[in-house]
Amino acid sequence: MLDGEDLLDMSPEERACKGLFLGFQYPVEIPGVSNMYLLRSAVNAQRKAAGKEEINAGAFLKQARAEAARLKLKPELLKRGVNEGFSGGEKKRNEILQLAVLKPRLAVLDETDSGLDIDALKVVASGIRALRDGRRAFVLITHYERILNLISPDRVHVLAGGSIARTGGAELVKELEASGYEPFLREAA
Amino acid sequence: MSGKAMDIFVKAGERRAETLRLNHRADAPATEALRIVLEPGSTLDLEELHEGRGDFAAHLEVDVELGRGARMRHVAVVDDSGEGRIEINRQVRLAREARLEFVRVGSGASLDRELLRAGLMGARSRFRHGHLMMADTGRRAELDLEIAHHARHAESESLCRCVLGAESLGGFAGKILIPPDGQGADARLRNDNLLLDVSARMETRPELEVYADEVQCAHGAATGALDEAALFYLRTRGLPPDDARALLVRAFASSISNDIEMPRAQEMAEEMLSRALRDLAPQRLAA
Repeated sequence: MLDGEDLLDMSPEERACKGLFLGFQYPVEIPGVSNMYLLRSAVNAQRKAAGKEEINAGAFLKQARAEAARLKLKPELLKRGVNEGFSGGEKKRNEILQLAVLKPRLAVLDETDSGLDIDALKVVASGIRALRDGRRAFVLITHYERILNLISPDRVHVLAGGSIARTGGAELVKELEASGYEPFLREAA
Repeated sequence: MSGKAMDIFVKAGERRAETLRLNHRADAPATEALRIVLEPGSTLDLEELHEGRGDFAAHLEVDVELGRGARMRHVAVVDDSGEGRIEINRQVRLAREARLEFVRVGSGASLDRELLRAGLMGARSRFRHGHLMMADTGRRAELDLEIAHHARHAESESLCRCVLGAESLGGFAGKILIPPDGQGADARLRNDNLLLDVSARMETRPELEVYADEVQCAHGAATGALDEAALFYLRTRGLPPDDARALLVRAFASSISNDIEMPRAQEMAEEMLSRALRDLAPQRLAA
């Protein structure tokens, strides 16, 4: 449920327009569709669904470039095909760029930290922190402690055996690191 | 130009730009001929713009000869109503160090057929070719291509892309021929096809026929539906399915349409592409 509406009854585009963002573990490459074109099309599609006018092209370009610079994404990547020839880290930073431009109500980030080196992880974490302004929620799915140390989650849920086995604060991460999943799987059984 | 022959002759060292508009109508069936000669060191930019309306039948013979070191950029846009028939037989010959870039974009017709024979007759000549065919509802588009490397160290690169909607038929027969005198050839031939409907059909036959020992050659073909993962990705960003589909088709076509640099041809191809996308987008996706 998001703002009282059942997301499961909606199509992917309807969910997006209601404010859900899905950050992919393996973002797809789309040669021939420029990164900037997709960003603008996505913003305009969501504005149209909300009954708003299209965004001013000049203002949008400026905003997108500024967000890309914050995420240390090379400007030329905005002109290139979506994720085309991007490194693993660039793909993940590009997901965060879309997140920053679309400003969703709820972001589900599926293993956004996988395959990132330490520097890229810091940039991604900083991008997420910058959007953590109380107006949106994040569900960050991860197997590792490192990104959680950089983000300091409000709540931690341990998913085991297909359901939430335990819920707690950031201290649960330490416990999980020390014990592994075995005790949680026993609880879930 | 109707039912007659036309010559374009570019003198040695001269630089020219020409636009040919060919209107095909049901009441004016025609066999037309176009002969283009570029003398050594000359340059030509040529836009060949076809517009067919109604139940027409057109046949065009094109003969292109590039002298030593000549340069030619040639764009052909074939926009048909869908009821007509158009057949173009094109012969091109390149002398030593000549360069030809040829892009052809067509919307399909009841039959849109191009027969293209490119002869790389001189050493270090280079032929670059892009061909985009789009066809829907009952239309048929075909390319019969042969690129022959008759001289040493000649280069060719050819990409044919086909977008097929409901009840349409596409055909590609492409061959790279390298006789024994074509040593050092660098040749690439590719055909990619996008089927937007389960009723679309594509027949493709890429071939290599090589009689020289020291060559680099590649050929291949792929036929499939739109990438479901890419479609889903675009939809998760808020794009409606038809818009997402149209964007992916445009992206597929762009590897050829982006090579059109001449303004009139660019405008005509863009209009044709936009119209084709509107017609093609709502169709049933191939499984």
